[in-house]
Amino acid sequence: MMLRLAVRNLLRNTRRTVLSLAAVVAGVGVLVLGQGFIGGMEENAIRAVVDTSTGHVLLRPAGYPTEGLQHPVDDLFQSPVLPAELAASVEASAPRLLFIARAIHGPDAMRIRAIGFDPERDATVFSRGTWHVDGATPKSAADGVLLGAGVARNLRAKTGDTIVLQARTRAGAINALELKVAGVVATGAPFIDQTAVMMAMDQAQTLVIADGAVSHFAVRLHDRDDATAFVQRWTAPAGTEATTWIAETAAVLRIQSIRRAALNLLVAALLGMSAAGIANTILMAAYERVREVGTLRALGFTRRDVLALFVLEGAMMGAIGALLGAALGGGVVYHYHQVGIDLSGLIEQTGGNLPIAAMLYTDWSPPTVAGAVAFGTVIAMLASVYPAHVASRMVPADAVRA
Amino acid sequence: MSLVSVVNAVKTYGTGEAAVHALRGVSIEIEPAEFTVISGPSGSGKSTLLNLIGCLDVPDGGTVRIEGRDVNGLDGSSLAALRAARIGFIFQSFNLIPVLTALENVELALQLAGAPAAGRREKCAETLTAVGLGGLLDRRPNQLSGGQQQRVAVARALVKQPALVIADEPTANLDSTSGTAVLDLMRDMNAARGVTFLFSTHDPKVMERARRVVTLTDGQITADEFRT
Ligand SMILES: Nc1ncnc2c1ncn2[C@@H]1O[C@H](COP(=O)(O)OP(=O)(O)O)[C@@H](O)[C@H]1O
Ligand SMILES: [Mg+2]
Repeated sequence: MMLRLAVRNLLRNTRRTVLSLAAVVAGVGVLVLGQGFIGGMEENAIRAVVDTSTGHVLLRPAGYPTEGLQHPVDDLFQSPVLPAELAASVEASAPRLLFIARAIHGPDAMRIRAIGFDPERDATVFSRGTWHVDGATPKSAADGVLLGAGVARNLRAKTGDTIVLQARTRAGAINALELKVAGVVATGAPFIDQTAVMMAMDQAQTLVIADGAVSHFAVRLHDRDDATAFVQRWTAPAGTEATTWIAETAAVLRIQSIRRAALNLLVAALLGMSAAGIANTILMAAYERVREVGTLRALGFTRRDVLALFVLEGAMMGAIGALLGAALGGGVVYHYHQVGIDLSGLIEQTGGNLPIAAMLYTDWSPPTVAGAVAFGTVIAMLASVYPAHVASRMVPADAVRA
Repeated sequence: MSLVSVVNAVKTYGTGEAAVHALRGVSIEIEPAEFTVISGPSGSGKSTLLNLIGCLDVPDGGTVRIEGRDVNGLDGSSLAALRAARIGFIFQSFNLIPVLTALENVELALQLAGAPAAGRREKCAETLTAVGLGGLLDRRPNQLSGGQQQRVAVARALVKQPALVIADEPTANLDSTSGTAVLDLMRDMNAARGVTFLFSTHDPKVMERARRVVTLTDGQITADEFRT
């Protein structure tokens, strides 16, 4: 009967109920949406780094520069063989040889990042899911090179053309080779599309005259959460350092945590507003229903019963609003979790150096959604405690004649 | 043992200059199956006295005993339990719960009195039929006339078979015909079931039907006559 009373009382002033609900819907909706998008962006940022340049564990020369367009070839190392006791946690591994070169095509020239990759193993560590290749990906030196789409545009080069790559060798001499363009690739990763010329490992090693030497060695693990433990157990070859995806994405994730703080602030404001709205609604109801409260007390309601009735009304308002908000926000998040959002346009516009992968998949987490619903409900419940208390303090003898 | 025993009850609202002495030492005994009216001019303390007897309030001085229990010794929830089980209320403004139907209003009272769910609804429907509302069980209060609402209130008060029904000016908001009808209904219930009724009123129609009329003036009892 208490529940029936609460439900009917909510329906009694639908306009007011809907208004109070709306604030909760907004608060919980934004919370769910925001978490979904920020979680998605976080994962997107991690993927953008892991899938294109680091893997889960990355070996590189000690003190290797990580800023700007710098790829020294002074401290190259031999591609290592992973110790047997670590092999179980490894899904795949692949070496790369990066160096700076000058690409020349007719009158056009630019500084580029040459990426030598292992034709067999590279795709097992780094994702090519978003690649659009015009032409072919080279399998050996004989096939030529693959230009990033932006590089091709700058050089006004296309598949089948011939370009010249000029690089400093490991020994410090200048080497130049005339190479065929095997294809042009758009990957969605700016550091490849805008600045890279990719080639088979043998071709790269020929250019810098460094047989068997590499600058990077990336490992993909079955479970990326093992990365830290993996690095601790792995004795890296002399002159190299091993780093994890966690360290490599820390700077990017710091930006996300600022976003999260901003979201929390916004949600706190929205839920604060809805708490005030609900408190106000329940307080108004308490004053409007003085005589009813008196009557209920005459029929045998205790103070506690009156308190419970009004808190129940507030909690129900909160629960309904929170469910609606979660349904709306969750619907959007779930949708974009499934289909993703294509950010390649944005990446092209910013031209640049943002660490974002082409597809953003929002983070769909049912526990997070359920938590948001519970959070909204509890806040509404707490907000109604004071007004319910006011209703429960009325003296029945006065209240029945109000 | 009297059903109700009030000894030297005092009730004062406010303090100092503004103090209103609503009751100045009222003593009254009420026996089971009485049909008693408290009469007196407006402001004489009738409602205050009924509220004390109905356990909606406690006296500042003196004692109020219901079936031998001193209400001053009871905490809020014991008073609520006493009201729920032993006392039925009928108010001047009907005081039905607007969001509940006639049947639900009656059922709420019976539920609060602790009646088991089995057969509860049927019992409420029977009681409403007995007060002449058999066809209006599912009406909300705003779909009922004043007379009909007060009948629902009578059913709500009677359904739990209370020791005492308190009716504070039950006919004041009714036209003469519905007032008479509601009064006759209560008189019949008193005669047929032995329900104890305690009214306040200054309506002569109510006084005509009373077997005992207590007159309250300025917070004091000035007359107490039994009729035959
Ligand atoms: N809650 C209250 N606060 C202050 N004064 C009150 C209150 N209730 C009743 N009174 C005063 O007590 C007196 C008796 O009131 P009441 O018992 O309602 O009389 P009646 O029912 O006979 O008209 C009146 O003067 C009234 O104004
Ligand atoms: Mg009165």
